[in-house]
Amino acid sequence: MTSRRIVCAIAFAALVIAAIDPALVTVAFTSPEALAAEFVRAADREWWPYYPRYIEAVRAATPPGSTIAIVVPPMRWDDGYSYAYYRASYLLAGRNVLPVVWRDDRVLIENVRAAQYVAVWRRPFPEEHLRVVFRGGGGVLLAR
Amino acid sequence: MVLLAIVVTLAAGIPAVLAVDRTARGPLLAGLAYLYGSGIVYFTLLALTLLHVRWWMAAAVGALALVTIALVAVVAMRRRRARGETTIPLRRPAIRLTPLDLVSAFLIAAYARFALIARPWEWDFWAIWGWKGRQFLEAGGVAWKLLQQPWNDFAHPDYPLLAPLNYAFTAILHGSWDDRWMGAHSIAFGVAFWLIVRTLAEEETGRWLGSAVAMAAASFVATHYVGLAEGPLIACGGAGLLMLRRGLLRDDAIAFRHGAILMGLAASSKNEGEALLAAAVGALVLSGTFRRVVRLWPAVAIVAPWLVLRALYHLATDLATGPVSARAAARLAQPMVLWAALAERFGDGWLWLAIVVAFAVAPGRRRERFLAAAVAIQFVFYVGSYVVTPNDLFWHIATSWLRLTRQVLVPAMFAAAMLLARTFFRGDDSPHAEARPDL
Repeated sequence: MTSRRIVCAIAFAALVIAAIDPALVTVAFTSPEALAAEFVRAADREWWPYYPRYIEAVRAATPPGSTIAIVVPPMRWDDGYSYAYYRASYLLAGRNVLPVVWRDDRVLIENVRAAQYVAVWRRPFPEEHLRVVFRGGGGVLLAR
Repeated sequence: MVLLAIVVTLAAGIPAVLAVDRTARGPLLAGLAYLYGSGIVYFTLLALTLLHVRWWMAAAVGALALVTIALVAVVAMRRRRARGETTIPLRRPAIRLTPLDLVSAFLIAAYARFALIARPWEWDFWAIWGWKGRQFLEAGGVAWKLLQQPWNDFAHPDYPLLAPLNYAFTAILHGSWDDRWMGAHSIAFGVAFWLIVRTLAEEETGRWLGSAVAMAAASFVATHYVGLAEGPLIACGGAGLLMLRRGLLRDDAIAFRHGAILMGLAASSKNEGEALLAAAVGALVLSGTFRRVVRLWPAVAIVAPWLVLRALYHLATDLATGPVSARAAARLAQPMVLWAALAERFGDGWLWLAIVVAFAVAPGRRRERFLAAAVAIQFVFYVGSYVVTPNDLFWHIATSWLRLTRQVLVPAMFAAAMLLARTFFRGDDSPHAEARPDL
């Protein structure tokens, strides 16, 4: 065997070994309970499980096609409002979900006015002229 | 129900593969069939939307059955016509298993465990790919107005729809949206790609080296970002490049056609797939085979409907918003900032180093110039997207660089492994070793 062949053989072995992802090997030897505990809440992090549970309740209480504005404690885009809005938009698919805060942290009061429902979670909100659809899960769903 | 959707997709894809290549058998047929089937599902649901037919189970399954029956008829007609042909070389070896395949199986099983441990948790799943699948299911078709709403630009309305429509198809079969097992799609794309890698590697380097190459690919054939359109992009784009390479090396028109179709499916999966198609064109030109560019027409034909629809509905691309040239000029004025950010977040460093070393030490580098050029050009596109991004540069690189580089990791590794393997295994290197008539 020539020296070049030996070098290539070593390089081939190194390539194959380097290509085995240790993360997958770790996954194989981690208990399913430990893995599940981490990843079940990965989508919602510190909002899990209460916020998605509340939004599911909003879904059950609103008809398809309805317009829903989302009000949550962080009222700045990068402080968590973007997550709350995007997540609600996914979980409330079939409804038209409107943000009340935008990327520049501007409050979109016109979206609150345009919405048939206002989903308010864990923060006070004036309820005058609105009907309470339900209270629970840390929030209230208001309707016009 | 996800399993049923995968089986139906696979079944729909088999006649499509055979219509292109009636000699395809075994693992290669299975791998290609799933990828082709995902494209058939995509086009079927897109066609129903364009025909204003609401997506309900009978319509979707009926339309898919019609397409499948039509493809079966095409295969049968070609069979009859082919009876008069005297020689059709069928040198397409089946996989001969080795103990190394057990390691591949172990890695894929570990990935499957990871992908199914919970509902897909990635932000991009529930804010982009799953979001579209779920919204379209509720709307009974592709909801153009929803995509046009400025509040929904987070879902990247311009991204192609192969993955969302496959998710929607699963939900149509189920009768409602349930994302609990949607990660199975990522597994299916990964397994399909692995079967193709395994077959091509063994065909070229023999049983043991082929299984070693496939073992090396096993960790990266499926996306680590479960539920994202990286799954079909990695599989279709990677398999497409490997098939184009085979078409070039063996002067195999059918392999080249497979490659073109797969590149079209990659371009229908993600914008990076469109870039990869352009990279393949560039690589053909750079490797001195620019006359074959025209034979990529199936790829253009597959992605064209989406490009037309995207333009018709004015679905904007975020990279092109605002003062693009000003952003580019500002970033290019400080190239070291960009370089430092890319270097800091560069992943799989040992593996990429091993790939570079392979190209440095192995003889016959010209043989792999197509794949090397395609990967290099795609890297240029990736860096270009960071140059013009309207997002914060560091945030954008931190959240996407590793994901992007893994899109082309398997083809790069395959090229490197083939270069090295061929120093111990000399297959039939004649360009016409497997030349076959263009069926």
